[in-house]
Amino acid sequence: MNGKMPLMISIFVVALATGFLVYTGLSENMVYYYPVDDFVMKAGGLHGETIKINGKADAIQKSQMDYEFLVRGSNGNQVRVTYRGVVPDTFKEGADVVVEGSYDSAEKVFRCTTLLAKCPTKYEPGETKPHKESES
Amino acid sequence: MIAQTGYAAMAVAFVFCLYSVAAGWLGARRRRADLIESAERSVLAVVFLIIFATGLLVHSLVTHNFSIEYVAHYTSSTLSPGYCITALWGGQAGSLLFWVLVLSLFTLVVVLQNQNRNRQLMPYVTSLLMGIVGFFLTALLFAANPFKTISPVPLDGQGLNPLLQNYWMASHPPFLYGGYVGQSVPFAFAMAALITGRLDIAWIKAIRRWTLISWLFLTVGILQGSYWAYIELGWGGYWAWDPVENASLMPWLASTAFLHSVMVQEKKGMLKTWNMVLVIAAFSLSIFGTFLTRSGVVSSVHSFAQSPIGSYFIVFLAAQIGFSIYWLLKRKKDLAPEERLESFISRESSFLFNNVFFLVICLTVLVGTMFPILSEWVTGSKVTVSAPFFNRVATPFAVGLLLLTGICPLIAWRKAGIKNLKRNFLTPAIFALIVTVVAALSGYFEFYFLMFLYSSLFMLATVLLEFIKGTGARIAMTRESTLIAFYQLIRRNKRRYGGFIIHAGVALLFIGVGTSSVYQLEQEVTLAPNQTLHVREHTLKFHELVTNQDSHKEVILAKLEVLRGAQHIGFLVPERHFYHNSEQPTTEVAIRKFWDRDLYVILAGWDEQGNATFKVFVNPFIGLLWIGGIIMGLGGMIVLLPAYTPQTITAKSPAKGSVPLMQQT
Repeated sequence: MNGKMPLMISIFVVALATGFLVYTGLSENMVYYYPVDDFVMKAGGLHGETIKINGKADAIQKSQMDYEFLVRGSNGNQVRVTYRGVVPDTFKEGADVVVEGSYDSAEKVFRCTTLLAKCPTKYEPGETKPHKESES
Repeated sequence: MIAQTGYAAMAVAFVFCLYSVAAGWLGARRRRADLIESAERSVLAVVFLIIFATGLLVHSLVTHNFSIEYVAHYTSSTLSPGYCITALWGGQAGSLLFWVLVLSLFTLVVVLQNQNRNRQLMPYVTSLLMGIVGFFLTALLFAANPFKTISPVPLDGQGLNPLLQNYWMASHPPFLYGGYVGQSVPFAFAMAALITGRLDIAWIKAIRRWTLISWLFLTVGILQGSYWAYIELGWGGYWAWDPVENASLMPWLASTAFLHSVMVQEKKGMLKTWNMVLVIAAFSLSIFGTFLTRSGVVSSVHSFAQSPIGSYFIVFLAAQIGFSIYWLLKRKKDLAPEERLESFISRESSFLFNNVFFLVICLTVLVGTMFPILSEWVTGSKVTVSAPFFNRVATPFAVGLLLLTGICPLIAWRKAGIKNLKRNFLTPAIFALIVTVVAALSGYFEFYFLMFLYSSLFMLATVLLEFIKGTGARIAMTRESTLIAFYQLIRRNKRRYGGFIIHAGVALLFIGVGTSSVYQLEQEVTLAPNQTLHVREHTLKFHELVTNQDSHKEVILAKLEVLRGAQHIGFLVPERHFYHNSEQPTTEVAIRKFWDRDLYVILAGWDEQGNATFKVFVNPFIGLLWIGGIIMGLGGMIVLLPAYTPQTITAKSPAKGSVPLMQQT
């Protein structure tokens, strides 16, 4: 058996498989990421779509596991966010947060499913951690 | 005073470093032995000065010299001396200094090792390694000075983040840095081989141990980091495909690929260009990893401009990659393969696929990690990808790699016949199939779980079979007892059998990964005192909430009793700590390890009535991940053992040296 042909075919197959996996992986898991200020400009058009918003957490209200807070941008724009679940230790007023979820334009509230927070003063690489909302 | 002395030491080291770069290069070009010697001696001066500077910084950290900004930023007067020392790699400037320290020590070892060896390569090796040291010193002197002073001097420091006050957190960065830095040595030798045109096997022999040592450091560092995330971060997992984690995985993938493909070059003189590319890639990715970790480019919150160090790294990376490509192209024709691939069913081609798969995973991780930046360049808006993307692309290739790991070391070179395939693979394939079918019939029929189970068991079985056959052959030849035969088998061919042990560790690790990620159980529940929760066959009974105070923190803890039926097994006590000098609370996870699962409990919230909310995870077989990791480390150390030299006294049987099975590699 000649080694070249099957090898070329296999490598071609690997390349195709990679392309397929990357393409479908991207199209299913791509999440747009907006700073609050950009988000506020586009908010109407983003109803229901999964996105990430970055800003500073403010006015955090808590009852048991339910959180409601504002995410503020540098130009004074803000979004109301609700979240249920365990928050990272770094989540507090003034913390830089990235909230992932979808915007309900009728209620004007962003329902967050994953919350990432970074402590603004003492950032260390290991600190960020995803907290997923649990299904139960 | 200390600050100025430390800075001056770095500055003088920088001068020696530049001298060494120039003298080494010129010495090699003009064949001036005196210049080469003085370049190598300058290394000693650089090492001495950097040890001195690091010593000063450590001294300042331990003595709470808060006039130095770095000390004030990362420690406080109440921090224990141990964590004061580890704060050396807790922040950016300190970790760069630590990088330089490790690299200059490595360079010194290389220079001492090669006093009478590789003399044509050495001047360039010295020059390049000192060039890398020089780059880091530039960054330290001009962008991230660890000796920067502040005035007014604060009364106390800000302290180390409580999350980072953990043994594994303190110990894993040095391992990772050791791994990153270690990639510099193979890179320098590879480039020296390209520059001198001495592309025979000598440079590969010179770096064999270095690649393995740095691979081992990376492996241990990554696993320790995962373990830290698991026991400290409290989200029930150990790997989140975070940019910083990916940063350490990429050089690991490249250097693992190299460790394998280099065998093809040693044996068959093939894949020469490819190996060069892998060495260059492993080093570039190490620099890139340090850059990602330290500049915060892609971490979603920090932007590019916030750290001036980023641009230094970009310039260095561009220069280093350009330099490498230039020499690679220049020597292209000298890197032609000595043999051609004969058959598709052969060890050569299985090595090739092993490498393709590593490369695919590595590129996927790279693209996914950089995706926010790439998409912003292309479309103007940031798009992120998360863990499911990485899992989706990497998992099929990981399964493929596990199968190849079983096949590759045992399939014949050149062209494998049916006989060879049958002898080595039939039993493992059937064994793995039986276990997998049994698992599927017992209700565990998640596709990826079964794939991981089958491929890992197949690979594990090939390894075990090889040990059994090898030991059997030795017993037949030498009449040694089983244990001695087993020991001698490994001792006399440590590279092959150490490699098998690493593979066995990988198999266990992936059984742990597959099982714990597919069958993880997650529950969130609010309990009143004396209420219970059933988790599989265990019962958790919530006793009470307790509040404790000490001088620097308030601790809230929940006492949970673990029962199996009516039988008391133990207590789980998840805690929340509130430090007085830090607004940030920390979560202390409670983990109870059973042989087949971990019970993992977080105290998520509570109220005035004494009710508490818990997040409970059951992670089945996650222990195999850590056990597999330890076995990988042990296997790596076995490969690193000094070469076996037959002892004249014990040579009672002349047959010992000629056991054919073990000479095959």
